[in-house]
Amino acid sequence: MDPKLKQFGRRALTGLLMVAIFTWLAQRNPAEGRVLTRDLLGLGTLVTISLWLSPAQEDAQAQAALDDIATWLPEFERRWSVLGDGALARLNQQLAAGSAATVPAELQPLLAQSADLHARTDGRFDVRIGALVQLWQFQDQTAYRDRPPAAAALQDAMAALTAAPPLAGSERWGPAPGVQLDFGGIAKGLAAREITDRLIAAGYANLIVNLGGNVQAAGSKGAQPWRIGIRHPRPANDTQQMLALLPTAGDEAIITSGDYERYFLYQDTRYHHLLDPRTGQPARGLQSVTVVTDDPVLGDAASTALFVAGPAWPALAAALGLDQVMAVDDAGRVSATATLADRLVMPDGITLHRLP
Amino acid sequence: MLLVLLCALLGAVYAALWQPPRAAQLAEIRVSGRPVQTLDLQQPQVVEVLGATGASRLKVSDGRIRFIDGPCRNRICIHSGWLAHTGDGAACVPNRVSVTLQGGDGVDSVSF
Repeated sequence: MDPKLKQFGRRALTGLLMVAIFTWLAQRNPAEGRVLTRDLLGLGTLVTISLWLSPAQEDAQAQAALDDIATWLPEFERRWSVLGDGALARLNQQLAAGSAATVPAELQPLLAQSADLHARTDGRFDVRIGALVQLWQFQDQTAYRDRPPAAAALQDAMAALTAAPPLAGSERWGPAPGVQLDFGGIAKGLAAREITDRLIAAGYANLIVNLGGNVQAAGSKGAQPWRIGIRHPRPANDTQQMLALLPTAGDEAIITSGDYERYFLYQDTRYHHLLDPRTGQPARGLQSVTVVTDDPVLGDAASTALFVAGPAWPALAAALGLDQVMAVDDAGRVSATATLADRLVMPDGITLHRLP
Repeated sequence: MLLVLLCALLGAVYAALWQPPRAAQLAEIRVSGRPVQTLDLQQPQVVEVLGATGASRLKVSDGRIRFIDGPCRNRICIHSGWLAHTGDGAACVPNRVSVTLQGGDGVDSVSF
């Protein structure tokens, strides 16, 4: 045989083989599954839902399941919004009129859980701060303050809060003159749980629900864990905004509370939305707190309470039974509990202080 | 001749099918959840997006994107800062404008 022809045959065979390999490489991922993403605006924030679909699951059916969530979300928002005429807004109207309020059945379970968390956080988490949140105007996306509220108004609101009865999961609450309820620190946790439960029931066990930075993950991304970035509260440069990376381990919530999104500056001081219910002022001492837990409702309230606790957060985390917490203090020092520290992937240049 | 053709074919297939891992490539802009524009993050530009209450301005530079202005008063969209990772996103809720990053290696979601 002509050696030239032989060489050509070998090359042609190698070439065809490589074509086959690259084709297989390119087609491989769709055959293993894919991620379908839907963005929604709800609960005053950006809601992004990602579903990992196996080859057997059809896009159209997944889109229909997401359509159901898109329909459900405004109902949930109306129920828990302090604005408009939903169940919570009507309850607040009764309180504002000076009478005791009837608590509708659909609000009672979260009210009871909020009362429990108020006690367990020694008052650092309190849904009775609605009037304070209104004074600071953090409750309304269209409102904006550029300076703190008047001291006298804050004193009145604090006096009313001190005089108010403790919350309970009962059918009636109040009267509590000058006090309004606000579930901004816990309702997103409940929404995350309800959306996740609905999608799992519809056959989508591998998903991420991101409610304005509150992440709920379930299952995995095929053979890989989901990869969750945690945003740096003070990014040192514009291309590295991540404080840490967490590969998920099954169903869990990753919830961060920070002072870097909802805030204004007045005379070089940062006034942010995480109010200390015991002072009526934005809590001081930390830049952000991240909680990882299998309970998104507890996680949402706890990230707020731990932020309010400031440098004393490790003791409160232990009291709440949370063993996966990371915090950035005012000096920029990053600390995490041992269990979480062992799971986090840190970018270059960020030092993690591992607590004992 | 045949060898040249085969090499060309191989090269074309290689270019078409083999993509190395990359950072986020695209920013999808939506108004009220409806896609209105997809931006290439390698093209430095400033775009205006007409939302529910006015125009939001977004800036693309060095493979990143951020809100730089808008009709909102609380500035949450601008406080979100630069976004560079696939899986990250931000929104101007009063103006119903959102941006999410796609098309590359990154994270699946961001906690903030």
